[in-house]
Amino acid sequence: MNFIRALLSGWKIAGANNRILILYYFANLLFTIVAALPLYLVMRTAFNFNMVGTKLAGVFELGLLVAFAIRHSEFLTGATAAFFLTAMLFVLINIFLAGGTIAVFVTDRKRYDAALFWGNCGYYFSTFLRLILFSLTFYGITLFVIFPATTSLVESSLISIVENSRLWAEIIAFALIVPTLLTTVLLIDYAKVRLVVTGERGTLGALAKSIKAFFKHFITFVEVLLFFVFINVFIYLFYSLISDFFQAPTLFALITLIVLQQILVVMKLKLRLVYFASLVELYPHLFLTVAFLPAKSFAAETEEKTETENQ
Amino acid sequence: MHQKICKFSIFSIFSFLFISSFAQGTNTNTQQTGYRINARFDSESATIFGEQTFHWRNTFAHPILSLCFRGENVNTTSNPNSMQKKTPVFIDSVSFLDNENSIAAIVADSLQNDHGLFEPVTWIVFSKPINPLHSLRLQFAFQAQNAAFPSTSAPSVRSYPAINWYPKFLAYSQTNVQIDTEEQNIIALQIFANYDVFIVSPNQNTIAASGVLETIELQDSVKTFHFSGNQLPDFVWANCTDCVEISEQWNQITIRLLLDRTNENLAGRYFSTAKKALEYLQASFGEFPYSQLTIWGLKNEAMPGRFSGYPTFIFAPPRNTLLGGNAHFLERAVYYGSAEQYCGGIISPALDDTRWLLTGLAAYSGMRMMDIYHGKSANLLDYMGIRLNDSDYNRLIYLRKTYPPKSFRSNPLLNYLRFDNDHLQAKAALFWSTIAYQFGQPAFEKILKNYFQQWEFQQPTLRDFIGICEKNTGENLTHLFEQACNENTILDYAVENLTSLPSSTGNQFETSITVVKVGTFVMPMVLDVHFQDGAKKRVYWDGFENRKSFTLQSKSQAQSAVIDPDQKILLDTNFANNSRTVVAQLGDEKMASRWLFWLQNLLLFLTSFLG
Repeated sequence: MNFIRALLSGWKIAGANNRILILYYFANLLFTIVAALPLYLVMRTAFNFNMVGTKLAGVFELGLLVAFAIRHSEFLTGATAAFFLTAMLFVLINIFLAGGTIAVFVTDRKRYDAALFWGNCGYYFSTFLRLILFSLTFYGITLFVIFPATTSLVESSLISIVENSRLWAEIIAFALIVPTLLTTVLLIDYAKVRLVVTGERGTLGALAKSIKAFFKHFITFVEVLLFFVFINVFIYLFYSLISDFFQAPTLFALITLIVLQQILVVMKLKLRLVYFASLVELYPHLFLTVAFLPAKSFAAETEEKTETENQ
Repeated sequence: MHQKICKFSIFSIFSFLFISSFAQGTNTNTQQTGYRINARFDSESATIFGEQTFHWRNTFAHPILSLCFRGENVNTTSNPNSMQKKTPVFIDSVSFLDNENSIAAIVADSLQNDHGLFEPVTWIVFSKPINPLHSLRLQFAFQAQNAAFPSTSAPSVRSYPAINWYPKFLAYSQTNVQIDTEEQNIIALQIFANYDVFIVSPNQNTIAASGVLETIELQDSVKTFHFSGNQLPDFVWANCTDCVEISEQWNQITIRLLLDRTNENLAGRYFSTAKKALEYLQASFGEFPYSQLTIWGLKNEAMPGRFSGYPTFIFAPPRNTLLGGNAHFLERAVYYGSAEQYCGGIISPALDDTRWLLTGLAAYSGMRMMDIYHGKSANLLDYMGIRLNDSDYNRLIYLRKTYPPKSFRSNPLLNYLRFDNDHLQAKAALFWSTIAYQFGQPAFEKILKNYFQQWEFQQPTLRDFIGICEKNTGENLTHLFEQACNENTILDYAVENLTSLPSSTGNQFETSITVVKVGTFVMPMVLDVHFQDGAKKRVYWDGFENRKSFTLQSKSQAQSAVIDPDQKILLDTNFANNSRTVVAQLGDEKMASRWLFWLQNLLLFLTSFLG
């Protein structure tokens, strides 16, 4: 049960680094506020002092909103472009923060060490950026080459069996592509962990070793994937269930809903950190011999080593 | 004496028929046209080929020298990348069956259809004119190709609709046709005709068509389907392989349903919807004049994009079935298609007015049925808190055209509206609903009943319908119709300002309301002012001035002012400015919180892959 042991240690390590969680949360909030503010201001002029505002405070009337979108379509096109720009910046910030986060988890510092965190953020930025560019190329090939090709292939075999062969082919191809994309995410993240643990700079080598480890420890990797996908789905469903109780057009309901939404975002971010920490903890189980498996966590071991070296 | 009365009666009837044939040109073409078609369908190549015998009698007061036949098969699809696909109908040969006349020329031309697009047609010019009350019989050999949509997938050979598939009589000319000249004497016609159609198709196929299925004959590897229909304005058919066919009876009407095997469970929904539709339409507009109604519930590529009711035939593919009973798109298609049976099956409006009198009135009736059978609120979609009304859906189709910036056209989020891109039909439906609210819905439906009875199997114009409305209501409605028909007229009234302050005497509140006419469409308006003690005051405004202020005295402070409080004027392009409240509402904050939350999740999702 390597995965469960790694998960528990990961939870502990991520929990000990709440500063990083706060950093991620505020980065996410800041960027989304920047992206959402123009639309809010336009909505404020349209709905603040009228009965449509009363209606929208209660239910999600699609007709009213699409009518709003039609009337403000030029603004929305501009806002969408601005959002994509903001999203791109946010992605870069996340790539930057990943190096520091993994380094902190690997060393398992009990106190937040700004120099260690920011130093590693900068140190690994270009390496991680290369990794993301590799993954982007792969996503592009998957979505624009493999997906249409799979769809056509499936469709040609379904055309004499079902009436709406195109739709079914797309559904089947999508069902095949999603695990591929998720596995790519895992491989890229694992390569990042490997780069930080080993201190290597070669991204292609790290990626190749990750792929090798993936096939060697297939079950463990699938466990990681399934756990984090399902836990995300589960907390979203839980939120949906709870949020239904707070749709009334009152100030109390609105504030409660906003608090709930932010709790969900924090939980998702926390899960992301636990995921990284779990990968860090999983690393020796997959790459090192069984004899090495320590009673202490791998991160603690690494930290001890670091401290000895420092002395 | 008895013999004299008989002779006089016969003379009177003939005189009436003769005189009426001159009185209004478009009224008299009923029962004068007939098609007998023997067609063979090759499903592998989606080709239809065969012979057609066309019978026509000139009931106009003048001789006719040329007849025009449609030569293009137009199919639409749900895929926005290939909304329309046109395939030609080739006329291989034409000959007179009677020896009194001959063909002088066959001329290829194009005519503007009711969408404003030009479609190829074939003019047949005779050597001698066809005199009034004279008949002709022509024999055509033709072939047509049904549309395939390779942009979305390999051409499916499993199911095809065939619309405009035979050389159909479309227009006439008193003179010889000269291409590229303005033909003032060409009048496009949608003629009611009798059809006798034999379609030979491979054994595994099922054919559904307009009219009544008379017989199916099995011969070796093919089946011959024989359909007949009287007084049909058009004849469409569709072919499917391996589909399910279920029939049910309702009040002497056979409802024939064709479904994909995977959607067999939807049969109950189709039948109950069709029965409700027929019940409503019969009660509102009179007896359904046909004995069979066919519903095509199959999903395929080459399918008419919008809801489509053809004579005795409804294309109602299942849409959004994954949403189950939370979405009523299937019901919408059946209601709208059934309503078109009356608006375009019993009455064939003049070609220029089809959007107003055919699809527009049908959409109005469809909207009414959605309101009656699925409630006025969220009757089209109510899923995971997302709600949509059918009337709102029609408003969106209309608004999309009213605000057409270039950037919007390429906005994928709203591209779905292109599926029902007939904004004029939506505008007509909204206008008829507005008119119905003005007169009261029962009164408007009485007008419709009179209209259907008066113009059954004839070709009224919009002016005729306005005449009936004016006669029944005693009001001059011409200015309203003129505004509605003007493409550039926009209806938008707004409450610009609302203040409610204590008056100088201290024990009362003085409330000032300013209403403005933002658009150019003039319509009488009702304004409701609500007060904090629950009282309500109603103010009427003729809507003529660009700006109007009202001052009211009340015991308590005003809460809100709403123009068109019952949202009866569906043509209003902006409902958001119809009201004003004294206190700020929470709608914008709620939407902002939703928007913020979605963006946060979107960024998290994005960084899961790229972070």
